[in-house]
Order: sequence, then C-alpha cells, then structure tokens
Amino acid sequence: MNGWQLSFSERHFYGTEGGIVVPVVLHTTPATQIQLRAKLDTGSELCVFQPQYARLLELDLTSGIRQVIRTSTGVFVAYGHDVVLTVLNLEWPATVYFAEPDNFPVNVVGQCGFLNHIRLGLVEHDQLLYLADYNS
Amino acid sequence: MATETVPSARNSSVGYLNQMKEQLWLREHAHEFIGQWVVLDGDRLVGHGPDPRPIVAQARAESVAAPFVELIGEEKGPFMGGWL
Repeated sequence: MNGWQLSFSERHFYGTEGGIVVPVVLHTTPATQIQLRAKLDTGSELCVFQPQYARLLELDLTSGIRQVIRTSTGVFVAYGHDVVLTVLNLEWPATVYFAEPDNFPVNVVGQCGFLNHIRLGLVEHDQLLYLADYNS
Repeated sequence: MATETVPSARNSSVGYLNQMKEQLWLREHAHEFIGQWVVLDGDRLVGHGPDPRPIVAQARAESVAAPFVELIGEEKGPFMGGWL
C-alpha cells in the first residue's frame, strides 16, 4: 500500500449548514475590501461571484473578459476581472468572474482562481477544510 | 481550462479571516432580512436594503475596512453547482 502525506497551514470548520462555505475577501485596492461567503465547487472551472460585488469593488462589470459559462440548466454570461482573493490567512492575485444577471444567486470558488493557487484537503465527516500555499 | 497560472499565495495582508461572528449573526437574524442585502461589521448590522452600495459607503465612512456583504436568499433546498 502506498502512502502520501500533505501538510497544511490553515484549517477551517465550515459547519453543517449550506454546503462547504469558504470565507473570502475580495479587493482591488486596500480601500475596496469586501468580505463575502462562497461555496466551494471543485467541479467549477472558474470562480464566479454575484455582480453586485464587482460594483462594490468599483469595477466596470462589462469591461472584463466576457465568458459564456455553461451549467446543467443553461448558460449565463460573466466577466473576468483581476482581483486579490483572501481566504483564511492566505491571499493571491486571481482572475475571477462576476455574473451578468443581477439575480445570480450564489458565489462559487472553483478551479481557476482558487484551487490552482493552493493545496486543499477536505474531511467532510469533521466539516474541516485544510489549505496551504501550493509552494510551501 | 486553466491551471496554467503559477501559484502565488502569500500571507494575508488583511489578517486571519474566519467570519465566526458574521455566521452567528446570520444564523440568528438572516430570516428577518430575506431578499435584502445586509452589511455587517463583525456581529454588528451596519445596514440592510435592496442595494448594498450606500450601506457599504456608510460602513467605510465608519472606518470598517472590510465590511461583510451578503444577499439573504430564500434557500429552500440543497445547492448544486451543476457546472459543465
């Protein structure tokens, strides 16, 4: 039997309500920091947030990289912008997407912008999420 | 798509983030604000309404560096990401 070991610098108890929820700060400058909650979705290729957060970050939503995103129930348009994303005690610059529909109902962190910057461990039985800088 | 980015995480410049106070507040009070945006400073409600921008501006005027902002939705069932 093979064995592998990973180490992590951060641990987060996400609890039993509402899926695997991650505390996030987005900012473009120190004066535009916004805290929010996002669901971890390892099946999502992108990080997508509600459009109101783009406005709070003083971004021009539709000036970003236009992307049509497919879901199991249809498609929607989102726009990519460069921000700094903070989770627990780690932060990194990332391109994240803001949905165009004003009624977009959820914030999601996924593969590009989140998972591709870190190591992640998950123990659902304990509702614990482990994170580390990929390079540590 | 997209794992070509060079990982570049560093220690947070905004301090450790856990949102425990905000989560406790939401557990106790979210049902009072269905369909509205709420802005919190820890467990203190800065304000609520249909547009978070003026409330966040108020929070910043009160020197809240990173206000917590959330739309209180009607979560009637489990969430599925459903991305393809």
